[in-house]
Amino acid sequence: MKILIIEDEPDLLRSLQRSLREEGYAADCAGNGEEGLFFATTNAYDAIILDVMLPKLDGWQVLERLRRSKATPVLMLTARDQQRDRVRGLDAGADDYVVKPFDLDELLARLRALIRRTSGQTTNRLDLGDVVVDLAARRVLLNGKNVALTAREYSLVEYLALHRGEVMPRSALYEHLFDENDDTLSNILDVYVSMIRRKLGKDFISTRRGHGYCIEKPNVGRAN
Amino acid sequence: MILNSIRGRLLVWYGLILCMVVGGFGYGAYRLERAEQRRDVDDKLRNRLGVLTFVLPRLARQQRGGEVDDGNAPPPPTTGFQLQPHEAAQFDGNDPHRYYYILWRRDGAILGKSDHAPDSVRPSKASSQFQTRELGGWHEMYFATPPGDIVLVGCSTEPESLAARDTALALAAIGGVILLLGLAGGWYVASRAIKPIERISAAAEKISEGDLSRRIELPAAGHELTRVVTVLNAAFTRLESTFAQQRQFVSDAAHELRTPVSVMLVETQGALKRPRTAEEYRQTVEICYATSQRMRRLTESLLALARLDDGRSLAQAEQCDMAELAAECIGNIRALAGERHIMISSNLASAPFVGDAEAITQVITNLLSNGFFYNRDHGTITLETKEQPGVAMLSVSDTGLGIAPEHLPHIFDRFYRVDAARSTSEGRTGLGLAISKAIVTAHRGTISVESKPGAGSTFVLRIPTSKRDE
Repeated sequence: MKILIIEDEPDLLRSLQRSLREEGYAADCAGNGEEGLFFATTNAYDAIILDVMLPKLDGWQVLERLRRSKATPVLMLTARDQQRDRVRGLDAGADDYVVKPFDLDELLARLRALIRRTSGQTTNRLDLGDVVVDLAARRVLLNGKNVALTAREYSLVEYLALHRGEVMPRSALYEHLFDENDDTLSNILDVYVSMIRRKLGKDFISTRRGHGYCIEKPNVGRAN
Repeated sequence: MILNSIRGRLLVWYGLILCMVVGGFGYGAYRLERAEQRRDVDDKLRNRLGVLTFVLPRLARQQRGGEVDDGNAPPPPTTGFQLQPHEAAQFDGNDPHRYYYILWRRDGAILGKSDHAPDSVRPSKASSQFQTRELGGWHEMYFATPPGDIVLVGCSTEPESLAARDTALALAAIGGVILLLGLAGGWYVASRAIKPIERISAAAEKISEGDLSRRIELPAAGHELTRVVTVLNAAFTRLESTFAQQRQFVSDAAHELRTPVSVMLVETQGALKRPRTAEEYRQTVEICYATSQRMRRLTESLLALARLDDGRSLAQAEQCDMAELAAECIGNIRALAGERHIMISSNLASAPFVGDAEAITQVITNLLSNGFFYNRDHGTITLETKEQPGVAMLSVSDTGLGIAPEHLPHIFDRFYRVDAARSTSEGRTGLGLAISKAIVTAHRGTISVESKPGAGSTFVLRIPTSKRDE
């Protein structure tokens, strides 16, 4: 999952980015409204954390313009907690609204909820036969036992699991799982896939040659 | 106590005056009546005296066979004095006045006397003029004939006294009724007059306890209470705006503090989520330190502003010179300016004033640092101090970004920032100019700004030369 953080307070921006990355997300940063809008419309993000008070273009305007073309889930972050600001935010197209100062765990939980909702997911557990993905705890269980995955590996599993049955092209996977922090060597993705197969089973992730990767839906014959 | 209420006092005074008027009038009427009575009685007595005037010569003629009485004739005898019936009728003892007569012979012996006459003393200074006297409840009139016989008639004043008493009672009763009616009427009128005061008091109470946005309804123009209502309404307006200002200030301050608190919260929460290296912990601690400093500066600025708002923060005023203070501030900032190759040019003429040197230094430093901060590299800051009529003037010009016209009216507002991007860098609180303005206002001076975007800004400070206590 790739998140865009649009926040003008540099310390806060840095902290959030670090925390998100440690949770396994890919995280891009923008320090003002203009930059943020540009990133949001140009790239595909799974969620956007948007501060209201921004230089150049304020949060409301960014949201308004974004909503003309994209339905990316937006979590608004602000120091204004007047009720009418909450209402305004939600009516303007934000999916959630968090007031500063906020609890980090709460923010992360709301983010997860946002992403879950847009994937059509209702619970925090993804049942994939022997493998269970716990979205809240961000871990994977094989036959009930926890499997040690790196943050990136987990991200990949989570993403494919949430889009179960869909064939994800490599480009999409790159877009959603890697941010400016990573070197996009073209085979790093394959490396991750092979690591995952080693830990969770050869057939866990299917390769559709020429198309991409996918976690198959149950009762569908395994493609090769 | 009735005397404490306006109505009560009005009523007491009004009652007293009414009492005096009614009493005076009643008394006057009474006296008139009495005088009338007296005249009446005197007339009646005079008539009877007149009657008796003819009795003596007749008596003398009877005695002497008709000779005219002169001083040489012997006095009339004391016996045999009798009045004709029509004359006696005048001195009827049954009449309420009980008219009586007494005749003295020139030698003092009593010639004749009514049976019911009281024992009156022979008047000593009788003359041919009719004279009157009072004796016990009797009113008497007398005169002396040329030979010296004294004729006296008298009557009881009892009927008159009774009548007078009746009159007095009647007057008193009427007066009492008038007084009561008057007091009642007065009370009513006073109550009507007081009503607006009660209404205004009630309205003021409600406003001050609850809704400060309401106002008391003004009575008609020219009404005595218009002024107090106007004053009260003005006070409410001031109160309302003060509270609004305070609310705004507190809300702004809390708002400003939210950001540094968020930073610290996210940073520390994140750090505690998993084991970190010493270096990572160190970084977190440094961020917390810097943020805490920011909050400290903010709270200090806020407290300074609060104290200035209160009006009690300036130290005792001393004699200062704007040029000296400016020179000192320039010295402090010179090194910093040099780093960005910003030139400081100054033209400092002595400009004395009375004020708080430290506070004004703070203002000059604030203006200089703004001039520096918003300037471009290799730009200039120009300082000038000058004495102007009644004020010490200081101006700071820079060749920086300038301020757009729409921002100019707000630039001294608290937490107002022209460019949100520069809000939190370099520890700027957004309160510098607000504090400067508060300090200048406390000195009864003025601070103003002129600016051209792209060219630069000029701030001008004017402090009165002498501190006038108003």
